[in-house]
Amino acid sequence: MSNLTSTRTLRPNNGGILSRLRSLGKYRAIYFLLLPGLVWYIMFAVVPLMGLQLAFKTYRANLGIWGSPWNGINNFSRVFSNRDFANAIRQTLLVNVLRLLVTFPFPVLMAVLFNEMRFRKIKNPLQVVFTLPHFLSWVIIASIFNNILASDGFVNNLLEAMGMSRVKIIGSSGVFLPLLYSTDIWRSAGWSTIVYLAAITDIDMDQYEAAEIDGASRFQMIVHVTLPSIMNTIMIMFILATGNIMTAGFNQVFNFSNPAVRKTAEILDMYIYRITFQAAPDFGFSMAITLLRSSMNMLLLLMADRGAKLMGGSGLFSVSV
Amino acid sequence: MKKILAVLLTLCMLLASVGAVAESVHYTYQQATTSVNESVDYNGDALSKFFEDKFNFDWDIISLTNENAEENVRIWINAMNLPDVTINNTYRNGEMMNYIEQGLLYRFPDDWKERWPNAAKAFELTSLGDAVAEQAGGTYIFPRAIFASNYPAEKIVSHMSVYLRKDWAEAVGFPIKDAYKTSELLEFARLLKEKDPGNVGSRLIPIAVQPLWAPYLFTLANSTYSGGADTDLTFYKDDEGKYQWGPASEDTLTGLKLYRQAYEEGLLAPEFYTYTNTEANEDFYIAGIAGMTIMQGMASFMQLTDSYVTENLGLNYDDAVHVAAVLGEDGKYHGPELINYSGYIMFNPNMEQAKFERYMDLMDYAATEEGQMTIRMGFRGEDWDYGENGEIISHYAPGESARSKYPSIYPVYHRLVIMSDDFTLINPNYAQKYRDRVAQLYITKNEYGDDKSIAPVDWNVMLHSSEAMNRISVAYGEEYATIILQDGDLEQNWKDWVASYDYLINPVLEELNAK
Repeated sequence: MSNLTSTRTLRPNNGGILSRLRSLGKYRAIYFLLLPGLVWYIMFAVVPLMGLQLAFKTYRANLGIWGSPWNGINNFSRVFSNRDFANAIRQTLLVNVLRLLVTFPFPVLMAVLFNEMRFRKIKNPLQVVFTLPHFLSWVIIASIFNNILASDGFVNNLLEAMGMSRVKIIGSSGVFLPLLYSTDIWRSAGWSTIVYLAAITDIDMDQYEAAEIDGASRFQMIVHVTLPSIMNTIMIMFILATGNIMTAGFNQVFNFSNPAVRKTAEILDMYIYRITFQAAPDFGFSMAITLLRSSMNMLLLLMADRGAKLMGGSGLFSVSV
Repeated sequence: MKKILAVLLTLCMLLASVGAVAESVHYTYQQATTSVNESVDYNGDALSKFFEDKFNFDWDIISLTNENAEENVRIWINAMNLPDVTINNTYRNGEMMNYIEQGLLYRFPDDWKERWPNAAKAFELTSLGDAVAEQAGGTYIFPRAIFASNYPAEKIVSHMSVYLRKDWAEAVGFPIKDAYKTSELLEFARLLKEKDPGNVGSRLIPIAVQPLWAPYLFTLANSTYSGGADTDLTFYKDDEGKYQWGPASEDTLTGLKLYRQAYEEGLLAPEFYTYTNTEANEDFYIAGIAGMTIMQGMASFMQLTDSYVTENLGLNYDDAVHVAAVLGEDGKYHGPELINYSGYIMFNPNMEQAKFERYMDLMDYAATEEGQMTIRMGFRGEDWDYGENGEIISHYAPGESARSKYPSIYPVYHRLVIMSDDFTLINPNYAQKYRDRVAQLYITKNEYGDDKSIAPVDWNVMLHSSEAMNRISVAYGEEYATIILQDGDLEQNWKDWVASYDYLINPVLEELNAK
């Protein structure tokens, strides 16, 4: 029996490798298309991982990453005794958890609304208009909004022309977070809509027809057909966004921040940027913080995945590819 | 025998010709520096060609901005990817010693001072060059002297000064003086706000200053070691001989109180913290909506302001602009005495020796009187000449200068070994009134200062090198702005801010006090 089992086990393995090789040869042109992506991934995602060892080293440029001396967990000890780090973690969680809650529903809502639009002549241009801001960099967006919202900008000039007094907008810490979230929605919601629109197009039309026969209104169809059908996609996007909480928003916050909102804007990435480039560099220390940040992201992602499964969703890791 | 001789002679000639070829190798110097004008061809004009032909090289200039220079240089050094020549602004001893120890900077040959004596003479004027070389056991950086032969006063202090609208001051009855306390300037600002002598209306900004330069008006003006602007010398010995941190001193709080007062009363621009580069100055000399601004008290800046107010505001500089020193509330001028250097040159550690030597030849020539005169005035005979009494006679048309005729001068040659501050004081291309004012400002600041308010350089602090010292990185200008912009009690906010740095500052104080 055991012999039989081993024979059965070996045969498919050998056959598998050979058939895979044959398949590789047969579909080499298709695999060749994969190559640039693979090279990019190795160069920019896998190879840089080697740099993580710096978190346990004292970086010496003359010795390089591999030759720099190990220092155990010294960098981490410093991180945990650093008050600025704790403050930055707190601020990052505040800024980005709120961001997730505020901004996440918008692309879903927009996708549903686009789906409900019947006039293609309006629908398609609108989709393009909402997608375009995604291609603007935060430097440009920040300078546009700072100009519009400045004390002598368009909004304040308008207020004054209407007989109202000028208000402080870009220097107000109370306005800073709403400004971040609204510009984030303006820039990214249209782009993120694409994923949900793709999921919506996958919904079997029979369901809508059945709902229509049962006398469902359009709103009821959205609630009972559209949203449940794309719930898995929503879950996956939410889990992925949760796994990005500790890193999201550096470019935006960096470009929108100013001394008046400095405390609100001091998220972890801003702190890492300051200690890495605006002071005598200590790459080991910076890397220790970066590693902790990534670990926290991973932890949040796993927690969100687990939460999704507990709520009856499929989660991230059980989705078939 | 003849054949042997002939062969030997041929060999000698061949070797000599090889040597000649080596000397004539053309080099391209990658040079990173700030203040580059991207539209200028730095190899293009006659003056640059003169130097390039003389030393057989050309430039590949890399532009750095004041905002990103330090970051870029740090990345280059740590990636071992420095350009051939890099000019960095602020010298931080601990950081540089770390780089030197790792061999990340080019080491000058031990006999460099004998080989390039003119450059060495300029180097020695800085004091910093020799002090660092002694600590490092060799020369790795070349600081550039601010003054070489035209010292305006005994102590070198910052040239940053307040430019105010003289016509408006006269209109509101504010006295014209050589120096003002911060509170006097606030009083002037209040008068402007109240009477609006320029009929500017709601756009009026009594004080146009960005967070970077605001310390010269508030904190640094009142507290010698409060840091900010272009100084990070913040450690000092108190009366009991114990080291303290300047930003935590009561004088700094005095400056912050005035700063907040100015903001709360609407004397500063409502969003002064968003000013970048020269925007605040432009509100003064281009838009004409500001009553005062902080700017370099140099002849070149006065001339520039003159042309701007004439062109943009249709005003006469003498009637419209007054430049003065800013004093603390104790009536004294405050600020650390400056070391005679502004920025320093460093080289790629892997630079070819002959290439380095050629650059040193250029620097050595630039440090000679002939070299300096060419850089400052252009070609003798064509652009200027000496008069019968040895005075410099400019052949430039009014409003023209070597810098306008040969744009490649600035900043490449202009700041090569010695800064332009020195020659500015005798440069006939600048009107005598500007030169006199510059010298007077230095004298005034010296007169209003004493040994405490303009304290001499503490080399113990300047050359202190430790991990704890390296960890301190405070953008004082920005942080002071943040403190005064915060809601709540200013004193409590300042105390909290000081306390938030305890964990970084106390170890350094302990090290300094243990020395």
